[in-house]
Amino acid sequence: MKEVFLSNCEKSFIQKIISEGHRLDGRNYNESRKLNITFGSQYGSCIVSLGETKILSQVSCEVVQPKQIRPNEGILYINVEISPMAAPQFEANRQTDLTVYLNRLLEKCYKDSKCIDLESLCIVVEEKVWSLRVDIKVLNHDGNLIECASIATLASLAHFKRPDVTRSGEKVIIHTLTEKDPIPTVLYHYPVCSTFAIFNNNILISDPSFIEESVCTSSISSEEGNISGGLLVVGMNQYKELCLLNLTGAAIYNSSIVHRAILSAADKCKSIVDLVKKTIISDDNLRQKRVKINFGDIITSDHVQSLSRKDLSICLKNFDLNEKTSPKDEVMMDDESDVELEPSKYDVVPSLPQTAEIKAKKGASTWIEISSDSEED
Amino acid sequence: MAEVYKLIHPVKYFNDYINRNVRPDGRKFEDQRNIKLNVNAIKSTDASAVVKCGNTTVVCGIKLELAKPKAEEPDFGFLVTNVELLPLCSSKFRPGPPSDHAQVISNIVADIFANSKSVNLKDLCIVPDKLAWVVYCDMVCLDNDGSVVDACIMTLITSLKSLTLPKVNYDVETEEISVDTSIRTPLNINGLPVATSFAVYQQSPRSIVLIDPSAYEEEMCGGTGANLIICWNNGQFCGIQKFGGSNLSNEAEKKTLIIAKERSKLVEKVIETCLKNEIK
Amino acid sequence: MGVEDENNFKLRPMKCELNYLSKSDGSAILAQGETVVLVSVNGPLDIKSNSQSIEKATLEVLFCGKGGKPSVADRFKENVIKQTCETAILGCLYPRTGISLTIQELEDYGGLLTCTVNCACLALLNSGMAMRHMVAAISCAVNEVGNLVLEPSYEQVQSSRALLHFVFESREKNLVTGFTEGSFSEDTYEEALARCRLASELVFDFYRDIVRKYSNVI
Repeated sequence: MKEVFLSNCEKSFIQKIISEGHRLDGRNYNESRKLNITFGSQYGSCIVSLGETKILSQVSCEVVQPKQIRPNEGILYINVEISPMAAPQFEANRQTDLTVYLNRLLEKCYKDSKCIDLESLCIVVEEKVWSLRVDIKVLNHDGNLIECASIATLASLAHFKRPDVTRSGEKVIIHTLTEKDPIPTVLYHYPVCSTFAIFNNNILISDPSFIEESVCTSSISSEEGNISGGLLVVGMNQYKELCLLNLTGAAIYNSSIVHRAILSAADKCKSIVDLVKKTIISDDNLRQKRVKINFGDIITSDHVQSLSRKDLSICLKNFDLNEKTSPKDEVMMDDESDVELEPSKYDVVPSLPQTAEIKAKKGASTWIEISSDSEED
Repeated sequence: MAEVYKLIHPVKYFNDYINRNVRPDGRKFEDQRNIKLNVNAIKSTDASAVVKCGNTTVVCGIKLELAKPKAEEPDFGFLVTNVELLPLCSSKFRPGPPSDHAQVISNIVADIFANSKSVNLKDLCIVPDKLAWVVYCDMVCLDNDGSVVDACIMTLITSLKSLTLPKVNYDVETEEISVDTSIRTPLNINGLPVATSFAVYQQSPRSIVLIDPSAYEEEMCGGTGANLIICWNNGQFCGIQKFGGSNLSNEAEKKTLIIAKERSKLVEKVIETCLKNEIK
Repeated sequence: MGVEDENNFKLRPMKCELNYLSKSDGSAILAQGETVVLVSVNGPLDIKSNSQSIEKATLEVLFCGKGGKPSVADRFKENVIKQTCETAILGCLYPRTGISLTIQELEDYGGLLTCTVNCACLALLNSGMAMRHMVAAISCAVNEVGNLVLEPSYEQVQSSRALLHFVFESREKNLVTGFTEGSFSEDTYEEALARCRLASELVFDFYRDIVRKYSNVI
């Protein structure tokens, strides 16, 4: 299916409310959506959800021959896949620009930043090393894939444990998980990406949703001249060291904006890394108590319908989910943003004696009627 | 005239035949096509067989190689089956990487064969953890006119039955391998799996089961390939796969099991006669 | 042959959530025991003209494993799902369109394919696609002593001699799809089929339960 493009009025609406300090889902400029990390039964598998954006990550390992130029280093391979599950516009088994872009950013963030001790993955120099493969699968695309994917990669890498190996002479014995406790991967530091959408060359918005991302990367011309924006990805570790900086979209001619983004990313990344570490520790504790952990746990019954309150994608700024409002009030509040009942197009008319008819209302047609005596001008 | 009719009213054309209890190629519902089987026609392979079921023609060639067993399974050899459906066999296939359909057929054949446990992979091991046989069984379909899986299994098992393994000497000290082609031992094969395909056609209220369907019948019954494949080996079933087509009632299903058993006896006889002829 | 559990159909606990994904037209996540599968349905939508059919909607099925590269076995799974769903969907109502079904394996502890078929059916129900009937998949293992075990657990699958999987439709409980692993006798097959047919009713009840809960909220 072809991609659905945003109309100009949608774009200018978003531009306008953002310049007035509002966001479609009622967040503040530097507020992120709710982050949730769940681990699966295997080591190194997790689902990360950032609002409605959901990403599955799985780390697997195998023994391979090392590369000639780096005979004593293991191999890290990252693979991103976006299936039609993420959104209908994606095609199966086809690499898009987006997958290449995500793959490259994740490689920069995790491979090039040297956060993994690859030397510890070596078993026999020049013969056998571990190759770690991270498979990132996008389940639901609701904007800010890169941040969600990087959290998923980090969480699954930090969570992953590889089987223990013993060397006896020339033989290499790979122990199963039941024979010997597996070994965790050594991470020197925990880099994580965060995304900022730039609006009007001045406003920074963290964790943009799908619609905000599409608006800020497509420049539209309005009365005030060409408004351009872009997406700025900042990768930082828990020591507030910069690992990655990437800009898509128009050039920035306000250099302070990058500085602001980095400052704001530093705190955000730190808190994300802390959360990742905390969830891994609590997951480890549960495993030690032999609690069965499974993706089945993410199935809840409170998330039933798109009309239920939790799922409202459009919220007013000061809209409090916990606020006790009757459903009726909610509809009233919502009216402002999008919901408006269409007036009935039909009239029930008693025509002949003892009969009634349903007739289309005059003028209720949604088609624009053009008549010769139009008085619009 | 009939050809035009077939084009304009494809479903009615087919229905008219079925109503008269006859199939478009003149067979009864329970008639299978003639089978021709030939072994060792291809001399460049280690074993081969060609089968013709009606128009469906499949060639199987077996090539032997030596390899080191996998570290996880040091006393197992390898048997690799692969089915190729080239553009040559039907207009439905395009050149290039194997289509989804070809991969499915390949998978079904490999599954049926693995489930029948006719070949013990331990027999293919020469020296544990050092040396084992790799038996490459390549099946190529020359003409696809339905029931390809039946033909594939038939050629595969016939060529495996005629396969002989040369003697291999392995020196543990020097790791030297010497192959003595003059002394050959046949491969031990347990049982004789035979697959029978069916197409299930829904003509309400009855559902009709067509044995050994042609490509045209397979297409009319919906689904890619045959709808029901039953494999019988050694008094046991080693695979009953039903995909798509019309839904199968209990009675119809019992009938197919009986037919499959009878047909497999017939096919077994064909294979045995063919192999006897070859030795002479 | 397993007289003691003749009438005791205990399936593995099932847990399901509809509409798990916001961007798909319909989606379902289903856990059967420890096996978890996520399925999304999109459609009817616009597809390439060379894969369009003027008679019915084209069903495209994509199976994504958890990690590693796609394999020939995945194609086989896709084929099973595709053929099963094609009989269930009233495709003739949506000519010249495509329906895409994407499956993501989350946990595999036996019975992955049956769980996938059930999950696909729930996702199709969720998407509001017109269907001829529902489908329910049940698997059955033959253990070392020859007894039948319905909906086997991971350990039971590993130690079984044969595995039989059946998919039934909701109206007359006819067999839609069946596939087997391992070898077994005719009697075993007949008995497994009969038992799975009875047990499929439980799955249909589960579907009704889920949809009832769901439609109460709308």
